[in-house]
Amino acid sequence: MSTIISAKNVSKWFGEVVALNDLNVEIETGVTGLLGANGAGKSTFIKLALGLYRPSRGSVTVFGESPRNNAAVLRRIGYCPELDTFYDNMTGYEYVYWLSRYWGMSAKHAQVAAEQACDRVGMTERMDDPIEEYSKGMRQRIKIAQALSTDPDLLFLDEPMAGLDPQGREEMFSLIRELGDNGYSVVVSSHILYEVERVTDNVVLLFQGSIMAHGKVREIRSLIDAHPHTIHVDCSAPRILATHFVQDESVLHLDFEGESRLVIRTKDPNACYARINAAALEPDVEVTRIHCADDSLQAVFDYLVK
Amino acid sequence: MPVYTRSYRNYEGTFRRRGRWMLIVEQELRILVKGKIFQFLCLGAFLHWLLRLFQVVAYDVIMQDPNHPMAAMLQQAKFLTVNETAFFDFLRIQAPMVFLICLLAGSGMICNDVRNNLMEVYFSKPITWRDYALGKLLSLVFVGLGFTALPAIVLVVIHNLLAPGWETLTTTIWWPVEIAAFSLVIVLPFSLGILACSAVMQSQNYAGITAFMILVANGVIAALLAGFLQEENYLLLSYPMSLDRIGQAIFHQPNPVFNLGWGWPMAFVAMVCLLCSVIITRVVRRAECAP
Repeated sequence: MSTIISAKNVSKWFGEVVALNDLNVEIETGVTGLLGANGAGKSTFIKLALGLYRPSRGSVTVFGESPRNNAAVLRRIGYCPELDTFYDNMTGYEYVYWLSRYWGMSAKHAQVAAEQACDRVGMTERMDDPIEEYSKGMRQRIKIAQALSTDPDLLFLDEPMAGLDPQGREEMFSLIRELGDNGYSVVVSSHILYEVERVTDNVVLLFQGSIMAHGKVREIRSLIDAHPHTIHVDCSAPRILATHFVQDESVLHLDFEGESRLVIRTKDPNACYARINAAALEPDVEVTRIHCADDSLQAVFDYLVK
Repeated sequence: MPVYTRSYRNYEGTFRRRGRWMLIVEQELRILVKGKIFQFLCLGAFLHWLLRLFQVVAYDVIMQDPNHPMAAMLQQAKFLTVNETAFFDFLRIQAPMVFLICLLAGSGMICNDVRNNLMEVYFSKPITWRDYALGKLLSLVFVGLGFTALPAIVLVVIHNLLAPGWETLTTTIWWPVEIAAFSLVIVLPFSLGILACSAVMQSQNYAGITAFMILVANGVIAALLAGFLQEENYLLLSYPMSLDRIGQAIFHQPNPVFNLGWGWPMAFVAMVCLLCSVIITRVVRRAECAP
């Protein structure tokens, strides 16, 4: 894997608002999740990488070059913006076609590319309808189609799941994973953690304009081992199960939720899981579900932000 | 670790490297011709052209033939004479039409793109602010010239075809240049002015109303100043009057609307164009790459 986006000491401020603060990050090929709460600087970072913003300090390079007004770089990038970006009275096909033409394609190639891109996102049947008649999910897909129509090496998807229904999200997850499998480099931004987790385990966590963490979710998790894991165990006799952990020094806290759930906070989850397995063999304790909330990105994010 | 193998192919066609503004012109024109109001205005402009065509045909076919049964009657109608004045009048009458068309087509050109967040999509492609601004401007200019210079020059050609001869040719040889020059003087400032309003306003309606109000207020203020101060040269400050004065100079018309030479109104129009260009450039450049 090689570096495709490199930001060195990048800061960006708008008046007195600091959007990005001394950011140093290198994003490699593959699917990368850009994660952070609203206002964390995700969209600002994407626009810096597209050359739409000029860094207040530092430099951003994409494919080793500055992206600003650089046709060679911009031709290798596809961008699906967060907000709807449509012309009035235009069909989905026309939208994709014209943006392909602006990208530099000939009319003949743009026609084929627009049809293929619409097909790829499942919009062939509706591509000749006016965009104003599209549902939110269709608009999202047609935006991705315009980004895909030029077969870019790098694709920026800014909040692609925003406003989609569950089925639409699933389709979007599949599409992004498929793009990654096909060799596209994709940067997906989102403020919803499970969305990113569904498409990649490689994340950049942004918080208030700074990088909180960067890497694989599990690698990030290992950085914060000082924080205890929380394990939820649903069983028939939580109080009996709790007796197995009372003497365990790695267990920091035991709690009961209702009559059937034990919540364990531990510094050594592996040992804890072994004890749960052993306890589950006892006839009095019927374990129905084990859930470790700290495996999710949400937990990582919460720990880091705190 | 996943192995990233490319299973797609990059575009293998040729890239359009120059003249990307032409794409914007092409797209804007396609959007424009779909509009019902535009088609209606086209019809109005075409009817006016048909009247002028009748004038040219009547003058060349009937009045030039002393044996024609209608010749005697039409001899009295001096307004049918095909000369520079006829083309000056044609363009003067087309000017409000051009303004309306530019208003219709141009008032939403930039503000709609800003409102629809299209700027970031445009500029995430290999399109520069120059391509964008030039494309928008030229689409209006081409439409404007299509309503002024093009039909007028066609009339000149028809006039030469119906009354062929050395005399007609030498008389009309400079008319196309004069027509093109005056058409450009009408169309370019209107286009720039309306685009500038579109750049600073947030909606198409506000931009259109603002452009219209500026034009009306400008004429009223100039007329009031000229009336109160008993000095007709203040009419220079009226934009339509300035255009008229330039047209009179181009088409060698007597009785100018005010006594100042054509250089003054020309400077006024150039100043307006410059101001509008600065406004458009600033707005579009800011959208292309935020400071």
